Amino acid sequence: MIIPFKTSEHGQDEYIICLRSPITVAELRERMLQRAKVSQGSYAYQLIDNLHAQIFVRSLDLKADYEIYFAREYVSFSEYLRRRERLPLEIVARLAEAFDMSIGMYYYKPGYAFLTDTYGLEFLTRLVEDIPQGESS
Amino acid sequence: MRIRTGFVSNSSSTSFLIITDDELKEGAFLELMGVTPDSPIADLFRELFSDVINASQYVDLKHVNTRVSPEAWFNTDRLSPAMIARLQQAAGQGLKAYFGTLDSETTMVQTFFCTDAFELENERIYFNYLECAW
Repeated sequence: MIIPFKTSEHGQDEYIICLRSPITVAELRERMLQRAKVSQGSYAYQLIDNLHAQIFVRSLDLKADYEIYFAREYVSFSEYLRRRERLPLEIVARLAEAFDMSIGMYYYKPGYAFLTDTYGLEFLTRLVEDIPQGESS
Repeated sequence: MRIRTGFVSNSSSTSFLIITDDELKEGAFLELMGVTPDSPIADLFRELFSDVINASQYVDLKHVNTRVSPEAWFNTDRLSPAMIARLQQAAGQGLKAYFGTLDSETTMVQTFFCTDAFELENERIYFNYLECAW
């Protein structure tokens, strides 16, 4: 599940990517490159490789961050999201609902300018979503 | 000290040069960028291809005057020494060239590519996208 939203301050597009199936960071990288159908070593390959690192290596995993470091400080995951991350209430509610089903919740602030609006969401969905449209496993 | 008043622009532009053995086609361009036509991200590169074609001047190097600088062929002063060298070499081989500029204020795709710089080459196409100006 990918939850898109715009920041209240500058209206920038941000995403929270919730993964449900257990999968390693290396497997995610392989899956993204495979789905993108890019030739190894090419410009497009580097683009997707960097995108993978931006999301799954350099972005904050909210679930892990809360469980490992902040579960004592904040009485609930919702409190952590609202007070520490200052996420919109609607997003907090959706993430709290998805908490138990997710193995990771990556807070991605895009480094690529084209990842905006509907186009950005569709682009990420095709590459990152656990079970994208048209794929059975 | 000089004080500037009014808006300050943070836009950028990138000059590009493509040299090919034939007219540049979308399929060959996608292959150079490393993406298959049925890839779910191919549309990003299709848009880049379209922008490149629309923003460029096309010159058949068979018909240029090799006694003047390649800058005169495109009526520009934005060719880098590397671009000039490649054009001079290509002119001797009768290849085709596309030269133009993309800028960060046009579309999100151009904005993205204006934050990048690269030089790509395969057997059919040379693509110089290194000349960025902020």
